[in-house]
Amino acid sequence: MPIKRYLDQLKRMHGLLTFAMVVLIVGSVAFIYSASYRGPDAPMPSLYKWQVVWFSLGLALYLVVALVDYRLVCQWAAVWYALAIGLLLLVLLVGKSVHGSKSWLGFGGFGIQPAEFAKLAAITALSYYLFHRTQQQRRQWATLLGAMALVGLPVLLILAQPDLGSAMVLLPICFGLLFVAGVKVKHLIVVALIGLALLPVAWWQLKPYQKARLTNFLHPERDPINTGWNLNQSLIAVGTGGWTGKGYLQGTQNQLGYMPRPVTPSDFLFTVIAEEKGFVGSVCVVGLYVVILFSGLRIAAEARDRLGMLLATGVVAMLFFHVFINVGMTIGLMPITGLPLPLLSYGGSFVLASMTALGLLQNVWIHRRVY
Amino acid sequence: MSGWTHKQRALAVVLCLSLSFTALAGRLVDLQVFRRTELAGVAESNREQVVRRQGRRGEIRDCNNNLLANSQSVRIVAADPSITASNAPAIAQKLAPFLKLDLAVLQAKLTGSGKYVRLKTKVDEDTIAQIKALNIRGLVFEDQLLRTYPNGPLASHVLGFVDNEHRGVQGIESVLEQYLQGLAGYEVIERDRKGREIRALRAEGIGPRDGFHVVLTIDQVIQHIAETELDKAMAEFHPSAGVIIVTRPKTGEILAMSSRPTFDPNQPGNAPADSRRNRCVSDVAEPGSTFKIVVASGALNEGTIRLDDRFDCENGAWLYGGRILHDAHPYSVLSVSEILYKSSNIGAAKIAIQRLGAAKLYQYIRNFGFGRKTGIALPGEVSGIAHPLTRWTPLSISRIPMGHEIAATPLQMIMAVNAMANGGRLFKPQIIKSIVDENNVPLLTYPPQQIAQPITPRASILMAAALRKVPAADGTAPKAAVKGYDAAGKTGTAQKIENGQYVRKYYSSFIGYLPAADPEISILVSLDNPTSGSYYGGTVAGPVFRGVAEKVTQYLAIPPQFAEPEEKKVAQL
Repeated sequence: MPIKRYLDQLKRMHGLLTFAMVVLIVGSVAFIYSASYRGPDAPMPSLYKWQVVWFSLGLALYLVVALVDYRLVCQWAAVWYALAIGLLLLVLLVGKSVHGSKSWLGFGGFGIQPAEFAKLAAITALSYYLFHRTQQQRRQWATLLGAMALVGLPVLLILAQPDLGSAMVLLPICFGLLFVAGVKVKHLIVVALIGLALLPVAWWQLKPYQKARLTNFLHPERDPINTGWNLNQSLIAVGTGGWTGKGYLQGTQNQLGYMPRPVTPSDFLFTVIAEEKGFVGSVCVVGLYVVILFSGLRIAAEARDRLGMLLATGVVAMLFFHVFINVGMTIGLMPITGLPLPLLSYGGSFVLASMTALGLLQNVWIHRRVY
Repeated sequence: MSGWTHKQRALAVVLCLSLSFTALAGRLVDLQVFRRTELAGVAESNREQVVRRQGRRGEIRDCNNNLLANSQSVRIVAADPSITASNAPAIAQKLAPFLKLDLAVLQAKLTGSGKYVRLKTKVDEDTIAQIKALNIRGLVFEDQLLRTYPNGPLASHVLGFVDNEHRGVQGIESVLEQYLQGLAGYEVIERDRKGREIRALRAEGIGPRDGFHVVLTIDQVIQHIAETELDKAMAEFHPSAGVIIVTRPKTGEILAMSSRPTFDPNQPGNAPADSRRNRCVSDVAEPGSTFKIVVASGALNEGTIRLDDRFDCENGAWLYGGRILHDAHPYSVLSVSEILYKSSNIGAAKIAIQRLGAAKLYQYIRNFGFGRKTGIALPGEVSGIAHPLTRWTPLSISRIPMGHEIAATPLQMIMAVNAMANGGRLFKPQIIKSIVDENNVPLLTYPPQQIAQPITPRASILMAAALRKVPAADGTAPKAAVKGYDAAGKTGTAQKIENGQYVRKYYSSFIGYLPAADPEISILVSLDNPTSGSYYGGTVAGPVFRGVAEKVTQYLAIPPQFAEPEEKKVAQL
């Protein structure tokens, strides 16, 4: 009886992970509401309602992905990978341009960002690839170069949009997987050094606004009005939150428009929470991510096989990079990039991608070896 | 096996994550706990702005409460360059046609430093509405008061004008600045990122207080009459400058004070500084023959002459002190009366030398107010010149009676004549009647103020008897006669001095009052260097006096002394 089997599996799900996820989902809707709130007389944008729609779809996807055995999912890794590459090519051809980068594929009134799915496809493909190398092979340069080629293709396609942030996410995923898969640390260091040596070349390739974001991160006081505006206003917002914040719907920095209105619900949602709920609120948010990521690490450690371990590690690497970069940028630890915050930030594609990723984690956990 | 074990790798991953989250938490502590106050201050200075609210400047009114100057609300358009700098070329392009400013200048202002730069003042509400519709970020609209003078140049020298900061510069505007200006208040307002006002934090502000209104003794109608007649005289005789003053001899009130060339106080910058000078109080000239009345009234007051005492006028040329003194027309023997109304220099000199003496002459000069400021409430007044006795030469006593070696302002002259007309009482000239608050309750009133009594009422009556013959067929100013009225007056034709030399240029003046026995008004007309034909006071200034007097008597409904012939009255009906 398959229904009963699925119910049994659901009971085996990681409860703490689900709990942290649900809290963040509720917080997301509440603070997207707050981020678009303009005072009692202003019309209320319907952004938060759409986020509810994305979460509903995401929950369905989460359950489906959690229940279908990950080993079956990974057998199709090549297909997912090919599909992702195909979408990335398509978006370059017929994509919609938003804020100067061609990253959206439109379907009627909606759009998806293929880069978000490419991250997941890369995780499955890389896990599957490394799973099928012997321990001996994994210690050789060939495996490392193969993995890099596997990741390099989507990276280049995403850079071509250009979406520097999303392309960057694939690198820690790749490094994380290679590291836990047992690739020689010496080799990884060599690759990292070569990467560093190529940085000046990369700098030359950057668009002016990208350069501005980076120089501005290093010298925020240099131009506080234009390129440094968002960073400075975000720091002010977070700082003025104090211990317990200004209260829900009371964030002046956001409501008076000092925060960049169009991107606050997606890129600066952490700022809104920190301003309105203060240190207590922001530590809670960070704490919930700690719960999710360390649960992810535990899931990796207790996975039935190496494939599950790699899959879980890839998901953790992806989520961690997003959290660290996004939170870090709102508090001035990282340069400004458009990387959203998993589960909290507004955005259909990334909500679906995050929920799918968490579904994969649950999947590995459900199918763990039980002694 | 060389290299890292699985356990070591797992540990490294956990360590990496832990360190990262510690970094995030540490930074949050730094921002939200330690730097909270500092960042709150930054946020506040971004949002809050102190805006000055200017009190409305008081009005200036004439004696009948007609508006001579008032303040209108207009707006200042300013910008916050910290917001506009990034988009300056586009904003400048949009704004330039509305502000009527040069594109490059505007762009430079928009890219300046600081948080406030003034773009344009005196912008009307319609234009403001159009600019607001453009929805440009970083613009600030401030209230501004615009000073307007509804009658344009009328009484401009009395009123003065205001500078760009709405502070009085000349005239009453400057003298009564502290009463007119009001008190500025301020308001703290909260702004959003676009610089729009969200709400005013009223509790933190202090409201402005409006200025007080000033009521002048000037009568707008009489001022208009005086200026119209002065303009006519300027057009007819082409003098380089001219003044007319109309006063009330019994109180010293100034009813009209006009000066040419003039300016429009609405646009003071359009006229040269020379045109903005109030010549009635700032310019001095030798008074010429008009000054004979000081000598004559002094001697009459001393009782050393009578009106019918006769003096030999030497047929127009008298050697005194080694110099020959001339008369314009030769006369043989003249009575004191005749010396005055025919204006004999020789006769006047003889009265001073033989009947008054230098010391007494100087005393009367001082008592009539010469050589010191009249104390009128207008800026820029000068004392004139009345040398002390110690600086007199032996010739002085023969020259001063005909108005040489002495300099007076037109205002000093008319005030002295007023004293002669008004029973010998010298009044302080009065231009401010009262200062009132917004409910027209007077705060300060200025009653007439007598400051001296140089001659007795009897001497005053005797002077009037002599001077009423000046605007008559035998006098020097038959053209000054005012139909129906018994007017008195004295002509003046003073040679101008340029670079210490007398030149062939003249001040032509006439000072008169009427009715002679009980004067209601006095009028001074003085034209500087008339260049069309005659330059005699009687022929040039006399008719101007008549023109003003006829209209003012009619306006003030002063009863005539002589009945008009019956048929003329019928014709007028």
